[in-house]
Amino acid sequence: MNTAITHSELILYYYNECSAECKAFIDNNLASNPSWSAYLEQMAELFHEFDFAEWPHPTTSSIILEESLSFLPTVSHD
Amino acid sequence: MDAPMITDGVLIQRYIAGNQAAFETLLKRHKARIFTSIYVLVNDRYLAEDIFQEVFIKVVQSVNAGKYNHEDKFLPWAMRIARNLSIDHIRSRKRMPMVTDSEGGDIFDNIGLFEKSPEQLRIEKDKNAHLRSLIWKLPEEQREVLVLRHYADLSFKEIAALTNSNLNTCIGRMHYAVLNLRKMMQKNAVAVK
Repeated sequence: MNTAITHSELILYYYNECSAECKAFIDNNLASNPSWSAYLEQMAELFHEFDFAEWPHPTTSSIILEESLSFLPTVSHD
Repeated sequence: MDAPMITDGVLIQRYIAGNQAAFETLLKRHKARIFTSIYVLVNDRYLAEDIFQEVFIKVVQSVNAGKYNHEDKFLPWAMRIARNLSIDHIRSRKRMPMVTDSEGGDIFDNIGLFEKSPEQLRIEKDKNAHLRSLIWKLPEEQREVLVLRHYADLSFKEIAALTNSNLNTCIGRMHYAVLNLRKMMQKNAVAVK
């Protein structure tokens, strides 16, 4: 494998989307390439900082559930 | 041992067969990812609520019309709807009137997190708002890739398909988004000092 690893490959590695060959190569050579580990650490730090989640208002979810229920066949109690 | 997770495709089949709880599970599973993505994309909670509702109404209608044929690819499909609606809304900026509390704050920000103290809520709200504002400063293409990868959890291949872009273009945009956000964070840290 070509020894020149690009930022694109490091990004794919970070997200576990690179090929098995690329992953093995980076794993085996990470220790001897401080610039790779620095880049990966920067990504990890940044995304740790940006790791937040927001939830919709409960009313919004209720409206959606009501809508989903309206399509289901109704049961007659006659 | 954990029970195996029921796939999205199976949940949709069960819902079509009349199982409302299956739809509820699907909504519960994906609502944070989809809502966060929309919220970060439009940077407006009211608009995000509207779009989120619109997305799931479209989902319900499509599924019940027999138009769902994506099996377990529910999230990329729903995110495609969310992304397209977000873009439409950003461009037209149809805003609902803002509803505020007695102090002029956003009433939605005070709902749903009652287990936290007011101080914790304030800190979290300020921090998230600050982070969203930084993401909002990114060029649109970078912001979109960042949101779809980091918050919606789509793969770069799925993002490339969704945005009709080349895979390498998407990864390149992510690289620049990372560089730009780091620069903004560093600048902010200096400003705080």
